[in-house]
Amino acid sequence: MSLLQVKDLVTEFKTDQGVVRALRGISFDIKAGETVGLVGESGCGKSVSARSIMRLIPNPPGKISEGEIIFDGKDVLKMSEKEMRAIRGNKISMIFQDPMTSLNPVLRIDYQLEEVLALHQPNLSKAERRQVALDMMKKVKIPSPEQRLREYPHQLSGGMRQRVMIAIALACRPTLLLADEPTTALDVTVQAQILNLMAELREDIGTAILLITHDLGVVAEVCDRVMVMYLGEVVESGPVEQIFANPQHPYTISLMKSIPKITASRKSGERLDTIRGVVPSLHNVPKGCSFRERCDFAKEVCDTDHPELKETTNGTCYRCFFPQGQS
Amino acid sequence: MSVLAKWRESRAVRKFMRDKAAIASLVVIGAYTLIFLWTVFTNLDADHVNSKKPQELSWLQQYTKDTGEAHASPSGKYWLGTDRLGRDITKRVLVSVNVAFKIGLVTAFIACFIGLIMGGLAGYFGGWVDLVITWIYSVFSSIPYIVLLLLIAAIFRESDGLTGLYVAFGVSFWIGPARVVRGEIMKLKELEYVQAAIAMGNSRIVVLFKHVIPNTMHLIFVYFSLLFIGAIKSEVILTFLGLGVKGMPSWGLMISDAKAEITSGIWGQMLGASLALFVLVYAFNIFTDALQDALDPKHQ
Repeated sequence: MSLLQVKDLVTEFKTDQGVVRALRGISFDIKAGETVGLVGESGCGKSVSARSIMRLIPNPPGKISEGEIIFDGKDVLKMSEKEMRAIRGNKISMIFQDPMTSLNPVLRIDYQLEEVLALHQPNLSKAERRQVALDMMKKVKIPSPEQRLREYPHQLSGGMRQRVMIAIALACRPTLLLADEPTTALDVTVQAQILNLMAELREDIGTAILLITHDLGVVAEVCDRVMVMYLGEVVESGPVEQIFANPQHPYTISLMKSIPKITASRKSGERLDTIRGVVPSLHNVPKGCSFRERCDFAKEVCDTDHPELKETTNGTCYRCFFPQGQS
Repeated sequence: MSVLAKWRESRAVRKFMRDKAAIASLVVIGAYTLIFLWTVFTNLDADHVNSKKPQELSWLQQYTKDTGEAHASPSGKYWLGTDRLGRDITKRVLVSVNVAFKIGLVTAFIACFIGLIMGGLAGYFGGWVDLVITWIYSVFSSIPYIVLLLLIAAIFRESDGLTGLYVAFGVSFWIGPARVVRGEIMKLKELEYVQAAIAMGNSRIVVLFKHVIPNTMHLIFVYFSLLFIGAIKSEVILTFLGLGVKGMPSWGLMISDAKAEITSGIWGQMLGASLALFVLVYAFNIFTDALQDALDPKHQ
């Protein structure tokens, strides 16, 4: 039984130019303890997916209009706000992209770390909370934790702030962690440290992780499964080894090809591979396959018919009439 | 590090201390504050007569009693001379600090408090809450200031000196901070730490008070300083119009009295009251600017 089951989720936003469907019916599962990557270009709906799971979509102008989100057996979309608050930070946690702005600049670190404990574990005494906070700081490997606890966010570096965010997110031992581009704003060496940290904590606490990123390298490092999104839909998903070894959907293939390779020859004239065209606007979703305009393998049927998600025998699925993988 | 040491080291304080004019202004304000405290502790603010012994003058009246030398010229004995009732002008100037500070502090406090709450709710919740609150302050700020004060003065004309003024100023001065706080909060609520606070399970209203409002305090401090002198200056104008303080000496009262004396060449009261007012307001202006520079997060 999966920890999280998202079924046909539709999230829409009212804009000046009409209603826009940021999520056009996505479905996926996350099992307990597994790490699932969610990749795609900016604007494809990755963050909206995570926020929909936590019901953090601002109500004007957004709305989760269709679908189900079953977490631990219960439909999140049918819960009251009070029930939701008991889950947020406690059973499902989220960490955000920019560590510079994710912590409140005028409050001390210990206050912010203990806040989540005070909210969800009221039976702890102040001293016990302080101890848990200290333990979490040690778990995320922050040096001199006692001193850091008494400091303010501006006194910490970006990498340390992200560690604090992770500490806050994991303090109540959630079963699911939604990580929205946690390493995008960090430099590469710090990125590696944070990813290692997350892998260790996963072992330690057993949290399932939904890792949202646009960096395929990160996915290859850390994830068990991966889902590729395009224009509000899942276009391919499956175990990481399968998807990387044998991608089916033209978009996935192009994404893999466009990763700059360190072994590429440095002859002049050799260019990076890109995907021609631009992502269509959500205001004007094309009929048929949304990737049609940019696809080298599209045929007539792709203009008129919208492909459904097709499952294969090895646990992957793709949304394409003419998949281009090796069979 | 002790709390005091850390505070001294903080960026805002260090920046403030580098500004010589700012330090001078702080010294001046400190001097006035000491005078204020002196008037409070020596009960110089109680102008009422002791009801049990009506013949006995209150300490205030004794301190500024008729010396029998009305309109004496400034001299070694009376530095600024005496007024038409023979009261020592210098002493009255000092005692007026009491009224000035009371008006300043209470008004600034009430206005900042109301402004913070109203601006906070309007900016954070938007929608109809915002509509109602902005409608309220638009209406209030459109009523001619004098008319509003006349109305309130009329309502409070029976009660003692200052309540009417507190209400009048409180009701008109909260609009400034409210507008500014509302704007700042509309910006702040989109920041990630607000999202993060909600994502950890806080209710929205708790997030407003625990996380968002503390980040507007730098604006409130500056407004407090501005409203402090705004109130003092307004009191002068109102008293001049006959709507202000009664029964206690204030600079407004002194300037108002002095306008008749000036034509006879008697300048002591006008100079004393105006100068005292000017120095305080000027010091506060410098202080406010320095405060703003020191607290401005963009000057990192």
